[in-house]
Amino acid sequence: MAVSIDTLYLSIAELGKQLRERKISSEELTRAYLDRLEKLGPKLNAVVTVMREQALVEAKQADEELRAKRDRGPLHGIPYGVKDLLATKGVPTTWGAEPYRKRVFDYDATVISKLRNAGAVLTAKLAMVELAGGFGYNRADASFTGPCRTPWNLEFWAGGSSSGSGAAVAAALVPFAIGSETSGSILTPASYCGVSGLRPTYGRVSRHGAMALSWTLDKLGPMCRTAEDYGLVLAVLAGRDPLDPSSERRMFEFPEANPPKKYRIGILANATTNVQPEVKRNFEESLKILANFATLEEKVALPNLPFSDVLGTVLRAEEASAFRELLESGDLWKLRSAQDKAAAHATTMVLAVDYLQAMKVRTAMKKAMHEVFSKYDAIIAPGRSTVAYPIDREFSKAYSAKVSGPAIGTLITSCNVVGLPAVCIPNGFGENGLPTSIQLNGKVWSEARLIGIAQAYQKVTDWHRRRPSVS
Amino acid sequence: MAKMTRRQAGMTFAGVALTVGSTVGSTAAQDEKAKSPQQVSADALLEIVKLRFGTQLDAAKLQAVRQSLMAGLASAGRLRQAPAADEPALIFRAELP
Repeated sequence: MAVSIDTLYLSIAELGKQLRERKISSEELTRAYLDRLEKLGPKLNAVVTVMREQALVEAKQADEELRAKRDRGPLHGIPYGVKDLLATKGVPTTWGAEPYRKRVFDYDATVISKLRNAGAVLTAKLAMVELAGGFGYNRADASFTGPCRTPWNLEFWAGGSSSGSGAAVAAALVPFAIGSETSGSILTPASYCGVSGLRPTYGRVSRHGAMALSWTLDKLGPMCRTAEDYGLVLAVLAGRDPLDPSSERRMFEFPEANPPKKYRIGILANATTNVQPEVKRNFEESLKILANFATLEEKVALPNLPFSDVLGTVLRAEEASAFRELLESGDLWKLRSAQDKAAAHATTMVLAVDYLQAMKVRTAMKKAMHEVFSKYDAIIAPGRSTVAYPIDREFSKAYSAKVSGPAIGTLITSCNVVGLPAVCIPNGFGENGLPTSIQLNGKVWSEARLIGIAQAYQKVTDWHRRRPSVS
Repeated sequence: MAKMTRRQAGMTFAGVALTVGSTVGSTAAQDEKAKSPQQVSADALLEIVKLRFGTQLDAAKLQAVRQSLMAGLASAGRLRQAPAADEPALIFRAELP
């Protein structure tokens, strides 16, 4: 049976309903997504490895189990893809980087094992910025798979570093994907590709088997079509894993049992200062919609603390340690954007006392940020200050400095430094037909609350239902 | 004498170390006089980078490394002035995972 494009753009919950009503089988669905991965993946530079044979085995098994009423839950029989920094047994895991192109692990990342146990069907390893942006990059072409394109306009970048995860969900090559964020790497591609992305609280999801860029900053999270979908995926991923000492045994209840009657949302001070006009317009329209079910408080300021100094110091020290062999061997110069990494060896010279000072300041920052975030269910801002960057220009020359959105940058940096969760959802379109978004950041462990707000927004809007015309 | 906090004590000892450091190598110190303490530190760190990775780095890359070292030292300087907890956000656990 031919699977319609309408079906491929359904949410996880809707696909699950079709599977259980036998309107479609997991095998049919998986074949249809595999065909799109093979046909459109290269056009978007969104895919590293298509796992056709393994995926079809898993899909057939899911069909058998569902027929036998052995239901593993909402993800059973649902295909998905992962950013190619998650170890998958017997399949190359490249980290988007030439020196690791042929490297194969003999184990699965915990996230992969959990999704397999939930009956989800792994179809592809998805493109990413090399080393998830480690040592910096200034161009879309910073991946051995080439510049990943947003399906909304192929002349523009999908965002990074979870580029393929964003592009693949937006173009219906998969219904959901896993990305990672050290500082902005889920929210940015979610924004540039017009999909719904979630960055969990640090420690919510095990990082075992994921490439380490920065042990104390890295988070794994879902990128989906709807907010409900990332709630369903996070419910599977969340929890303590003995293989990742940073993971926590924290309850993730979805949907939230007792949500407030009216949400309390703080609007980031200067949220629309120096952003593109369409980003500002769409943000203001979003606030009008949110006002129907939330109390909005304006000009919420973040603590005036050196967040970017902490992020920079911690990231430099940890990436130097994580990639020490790459730096020592000289293989760094085999990377696609080696010209942007001329200063990489400076990272090896972060003094231990300076790293520890950054970690002491970080502790103080947690307290200061908690004092602000504890007053709200979420703090809101545009997802990014601009639409996607053009692929043929260096990022620093892509747009005027007048649209650098400093407050948005500080929000993303500060929340990553202290490990707070965030969601990003599409809220309209800007120049060149490219999507814009809003981001909602919350206090520690508040993902279910953030998802509830995003769901309420998506109930009365249809931006998440819009489709790019890529074919 | 009022009890010193650990932070105050740390600042005092750092001051002592700086004083001792400033009395050695007087000839070199004269040459370096025109440079700021941050530039001197960056150049010292750059020498270590050259020792370890010099064969990989041409003049342009060394210049980029030096600029990055300067930026890192400036960051570290700002962090010395920022509110900080007594202990870093690191937890060592004795038991096996």
